[in-house]
Amino acid sequence: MPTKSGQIVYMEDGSNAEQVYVANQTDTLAQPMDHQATLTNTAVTHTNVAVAPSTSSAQSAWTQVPEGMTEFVNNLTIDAFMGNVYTHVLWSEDGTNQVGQASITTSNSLAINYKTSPQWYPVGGAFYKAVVWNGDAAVHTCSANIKFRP
Amino acid sequence: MAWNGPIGGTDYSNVDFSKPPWVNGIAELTHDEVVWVIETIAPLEEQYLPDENTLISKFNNLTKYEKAINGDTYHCIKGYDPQVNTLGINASGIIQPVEESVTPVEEV
Repeated sequence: MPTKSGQIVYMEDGSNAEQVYVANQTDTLAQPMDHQATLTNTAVTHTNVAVAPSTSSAQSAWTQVPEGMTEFVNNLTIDAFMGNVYTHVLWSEDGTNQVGQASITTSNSLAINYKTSPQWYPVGGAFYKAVVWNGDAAVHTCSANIKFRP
Repeated sequence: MAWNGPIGGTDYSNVDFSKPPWVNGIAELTHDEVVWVIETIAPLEEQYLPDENTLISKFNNLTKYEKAINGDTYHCIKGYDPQVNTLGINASGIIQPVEESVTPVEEV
């Protein structure tokens, strides 16, 4: 337990607790590389949403990419073993206008019900909208999220 | 607005795809509709189902998606107590009664 002497709190090893706290609060302090790799940020984009046949379900609003994140993967849960139900992500720089092309980020051929991106993709803008596309002839209930990393 | 699913499971002409269950968010349902969901989904909840997606899709398939719900609506309904709540749900959650403000009476 830290001990308190006047205004200064000392740690068990004799260091000043306030100084330790300040040091850990420094934004510019570089984290070790192995630690950086664990700093991910997951955003739920679709919570068991119904997606009609040959239709897509896009998030209604643009969402800002978490600060410092440069790559992402998509995860998709489908209510059946479907090949042609998959995700892609739309990008915007201003939160209003779409830029660039959306590329498919989970398989559009594997007939499985839990899909994840085969690789990390580069973030394509400051804002994103995740889209679940249902290419099947039946309606499906789907959940999706995006996992970002620096 | 009540159910926002295809009539008979195939006619999408009445559907608004910009609203639940086709996007995230809580659907607007009356008290009776909420009670119906609670009673209809209860037997499914008692079964072993691997995840919530399976539960909700089973419910949606049961209703041919005519009375489909999404995850946000389901979570809201889980907090709905028909003995206490009577006004249904909307995009903000469980509709609460508006409390009438008591105007202090001036004593003469």
